[in-house]
Amino acid sequence: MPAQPEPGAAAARRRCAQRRNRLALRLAAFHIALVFLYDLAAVHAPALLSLPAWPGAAVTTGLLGALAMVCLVIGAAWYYSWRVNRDNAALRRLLKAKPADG
Amino acid sequence: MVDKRLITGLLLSQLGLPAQAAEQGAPAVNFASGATFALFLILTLFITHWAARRTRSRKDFYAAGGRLGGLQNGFAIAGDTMSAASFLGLVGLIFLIGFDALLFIVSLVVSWLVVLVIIAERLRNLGSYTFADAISYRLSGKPVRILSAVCALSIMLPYLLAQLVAAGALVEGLFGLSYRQGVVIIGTLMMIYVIFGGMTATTWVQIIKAVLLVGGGTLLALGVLLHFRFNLGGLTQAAVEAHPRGLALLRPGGLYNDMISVASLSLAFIGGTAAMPHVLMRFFTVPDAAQARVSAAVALGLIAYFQVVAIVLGLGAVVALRDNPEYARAGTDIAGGSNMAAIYLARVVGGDVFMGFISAVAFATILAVVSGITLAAGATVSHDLYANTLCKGESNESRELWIARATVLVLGVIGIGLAFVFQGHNVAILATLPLAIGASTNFPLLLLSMHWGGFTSKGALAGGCAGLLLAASLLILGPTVWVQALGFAEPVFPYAYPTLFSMGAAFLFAWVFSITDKSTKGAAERAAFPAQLARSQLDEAQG
Repeated sequence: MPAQPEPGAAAARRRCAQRRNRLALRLAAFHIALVFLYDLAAVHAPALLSLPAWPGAAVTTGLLGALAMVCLVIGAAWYYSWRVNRDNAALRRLLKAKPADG
Repeated sequence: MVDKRLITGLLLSQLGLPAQAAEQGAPAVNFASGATFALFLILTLFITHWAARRTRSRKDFYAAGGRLGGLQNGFAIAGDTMSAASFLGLVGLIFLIGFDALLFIVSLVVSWLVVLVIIAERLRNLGSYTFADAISYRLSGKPVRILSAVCALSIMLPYLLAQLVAAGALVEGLFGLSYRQGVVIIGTLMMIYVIFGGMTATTWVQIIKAVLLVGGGTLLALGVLLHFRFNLGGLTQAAVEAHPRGLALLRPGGLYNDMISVASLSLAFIGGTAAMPHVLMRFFTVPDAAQARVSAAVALGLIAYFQVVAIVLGLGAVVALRDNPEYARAGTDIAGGSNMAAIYLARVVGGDVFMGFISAVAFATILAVVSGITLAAGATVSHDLYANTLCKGESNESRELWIARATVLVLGVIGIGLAFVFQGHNVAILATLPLAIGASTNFPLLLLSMHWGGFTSKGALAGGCAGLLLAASLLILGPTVWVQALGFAEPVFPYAYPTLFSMGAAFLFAWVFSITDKSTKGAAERAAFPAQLARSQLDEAQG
């Protein structure tokens, strides 16, 4: 039977998992909300999404918005991975430095 | 009122299915398509032979032994997701209606963020071979597993059939073979890959296909952008001038103009994509949660990139084909239907050789996707229904493997037979069904079982059944079946996607039946949540 983790280590792991959980839910909720905002604009303010992205441009705010959202999602994925790796590294250091710290 | 022809076009677009593939004007078979596809076949059959020698155990067959790296798995997942729909269908949709295709793109990309941050790691830690493993980790095994299996098969069987019908139609237009020959070729190859090579062969087929698809799409997009000196504004301007809808090409409302339809569509794409059983199964092919996270991140990057490529291709197709008498037809369509836009664009950009290459890539795309679906369906029957339900988790491993392979064979034969029956029929419902059911059943069950401690088996059964029944019945009463397939004048349910209602009902029923569940079994399931949570959050630093 595996040994039970020390209370200090268990608390650190729990805090790390809770932080990650909060971040994950916030990122997901934010981006789903953005999709519905985009949908809302497409239905109720189509003119807003048909405006030129800059004066005289053929590219519209709607097209630019979709491209921006794709970039934002890629950025969010990168940020999430970076945060998780950073938190894991910090947790690993903590567990190594204070293995029996209660 | 939305044009019915546009709805049909949209639904067929989701399959990448040519509307009238055999119509005159479809390209003749050429050497490049034959050579590229022959090369793909030789390579993938060689890999299958190699994989067959490595596929000995249940874990090898279902999960490639759990030996894949995150990068490999990410490419395979992207390959699974980027079906003919993402390539031919999306380009065709932009060509046909313009802006509203962007609604699909943003939902699809966001769905992969949801998979990355909410599903991937937890699923890997809780399951073994199928997503039902994760759902029934603490919930009462048998009924929940049966429900999950039924939902999974309700998604995969129509999807498989739709892809086989699409393959037959594509072959008719692209390779000069008959519809039946195309279906038999795809069906037979699919069975060979899966039965002999299991997940290892299927994964490598996906990886090769993903590389070909992304590479081919990129080359095509570069050809388009080069023509416009990499000026997206110039490309957009030319597309607006060439399209019969003019400025309306970039204006919302070409397809849907009410919030319920648009929200249902977005929910179907976000929830449905995140709950495809054959895609979720891929997270068990990596050794740990960290690699599952890498897989999802790589897949997200590739899928997002490919969506941008599709936008360029769609606008490029408008410019290249709209005023081209060789392809243009009356109204807004082209020869063979709008899903042929990417193929014709390849011909305009790179001649017959490039068109042949892109055609072969499209065919390989379907082949790879049906292999993944069949493997997941085989795993559902053998692992979820036979091993864990019938044998209560105490099955003989070799017998389970035998059943998985036999299921693949039976499904393949049934799929080929049904594809013959559905030749020339309106299969638009098959495109809507998988996403709607996935978003209304698997997605709520997976999300609640992994993230809500109060979720119980009663809630899972009530929510899953409500989502499944409502999604199926509203689809039948909606315009896709009631009007287009059954021929009634007006639909009873006015929306093409029922997801807003069916997913809402699934969550509501799951919540109500869980909080009112006062049984001892319910209490035990709630009490087991902290242990499940701890296991689901295990990581390389925490294990």
